[in-house]
Amino acid sequence: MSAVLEVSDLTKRFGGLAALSNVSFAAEEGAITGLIGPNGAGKTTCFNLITGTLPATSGTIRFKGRDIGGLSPHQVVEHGLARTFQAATTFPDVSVRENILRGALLRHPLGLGAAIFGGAKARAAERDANQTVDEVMDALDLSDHAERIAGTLAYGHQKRLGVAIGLATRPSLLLLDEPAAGLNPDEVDRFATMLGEIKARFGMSVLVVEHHMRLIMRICDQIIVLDHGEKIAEGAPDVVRDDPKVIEAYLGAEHA
Amino acid sequence: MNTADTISTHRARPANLLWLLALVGAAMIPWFTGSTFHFHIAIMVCIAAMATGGLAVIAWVGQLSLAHAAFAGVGAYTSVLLVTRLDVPVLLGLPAGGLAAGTVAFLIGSPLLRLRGVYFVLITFAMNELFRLVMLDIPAYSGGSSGIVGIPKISVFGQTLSRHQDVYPFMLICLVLVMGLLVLIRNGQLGRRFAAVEENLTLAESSGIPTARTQNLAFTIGSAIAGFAGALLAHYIGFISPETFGFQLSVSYVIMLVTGGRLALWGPLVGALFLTPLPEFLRGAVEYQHIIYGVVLIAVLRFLPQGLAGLPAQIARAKGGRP
Repeated sequence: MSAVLEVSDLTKRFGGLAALSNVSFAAEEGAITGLIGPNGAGKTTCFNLITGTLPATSGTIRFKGRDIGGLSPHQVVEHGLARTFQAATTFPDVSVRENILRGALLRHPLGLGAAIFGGAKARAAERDANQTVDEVMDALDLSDHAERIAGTLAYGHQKRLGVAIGLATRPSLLLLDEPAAGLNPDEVDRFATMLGEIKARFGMSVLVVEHHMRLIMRICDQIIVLDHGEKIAEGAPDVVRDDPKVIEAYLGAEHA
Repeated sequence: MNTADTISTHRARPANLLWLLALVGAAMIPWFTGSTFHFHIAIMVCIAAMATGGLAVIAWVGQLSLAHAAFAGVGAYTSVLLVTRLDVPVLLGLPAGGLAAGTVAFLIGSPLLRLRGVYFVLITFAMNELFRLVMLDIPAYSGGSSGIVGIPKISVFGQTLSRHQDVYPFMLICLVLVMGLLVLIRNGQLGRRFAAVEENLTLAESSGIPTARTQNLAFTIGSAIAGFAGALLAHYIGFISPETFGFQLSVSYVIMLVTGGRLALWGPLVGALFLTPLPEFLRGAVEYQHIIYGVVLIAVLRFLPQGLAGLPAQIARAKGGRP
């Protein structure tokens, strides 16, 4: 297996505070990689650096062999690296279909003329984009809600819609920020199954930040553990689970 | 238009047809009454609707420009100077005015649009004042505080449109073209990008939409339309000065937009149609124009958050039927 994403010596300082210091890891092609750690460990900061939302203080981020450090978020997405947000993040006032269409725009761009005046090219792009949307809705079990206004959906569906918008950009690596947060146990199980399916169906790799240990242990091929902005462990789920340093980080020294 | 129709079949509802009929009916009024005064008001409505339409395009990406009058001024001065100094035909001067305003907007757009919300409003307010003060400082070009008088009237194919009833059809055609452009933008892929940026900027950026470039594009298009409308105003009224394009005109456009409906496609038209004649018909109350506008604005914000264009939907909701 080769690495789709390689992060080396990634550091982020906010003033004197090091939110992330010299973190290096790789996400393997076709795998689900988990990024875990206690609150404040630097997981979301790490996400924000990778997606270009925040500039890194130092370190390099290579995606499919190319340095993507310093790119703006939309350029990162263009390279094939999409993300979802911790809270359910959608375009709340429009339908589910319109939400996903906005994500699908990226792979069906038009020149200014065609974008304004329409024409055969615009019709073809619209048709193709809708095809992508249908496919994504089918994969995430949202087809029945296609015409519902996003803001009126149940929370679990909104979170799935967030994933759907990301999927519509046709990423080769999908970054999920706490996809299970706020879901009930049934929904978590369902999401785990779904994630495996969409990964295979769309041929992509996944990097997931999550607190839900049962979910992480179940779906991940590889886990990276952060604590206080540093990497403290890395490996397969059962290896990481028994690592004394990880247990200490989560439960305190006396349990190690 | 075909694509626009298939993309948004949900827009082609009887309510829209009703709107269109009402607007056409309103446009016919001057011909029925035959009054020069009514022709004048109708022309002013057309110009205001175009300028407000430009402001609407900027509002569609979630920004509110208080420099809109300045861009109308850039367009007006460009056209007037081209026509009076270089003998360019007015028909070329008008689009040149739009082009000049659009170019200025494009150049200053990317630094200005880094600011959002109230900060963007404030910086554009400052830009409008800057325009007025700079223009007052170069009287050789601007005519200073006494302005430029005797601006040539619009002429089409050698025919000068000197009477109000001759100018009006020309203005209507311009308005239809501008509104047509707005419909195309709104219903095409560009409209989808704009709406995404307006509704959730962070998510739009993370979905691969270049939000900064998209906002700048909207700012450029909207300001170009303002420049075009400003040029029309100059050649119609026949007089401009830096004060014509002061901050108060910008505020008027904002009030018309908000009153009509900030995000409604027909908002600019409805707002201009409602607010342009209002002070004119309350003659003797012209000096209270801004007070009237202020009261209307407060009432709209309180009772009609979607603007007048959203009124039918709001009535339908009030009747109990969920839309």
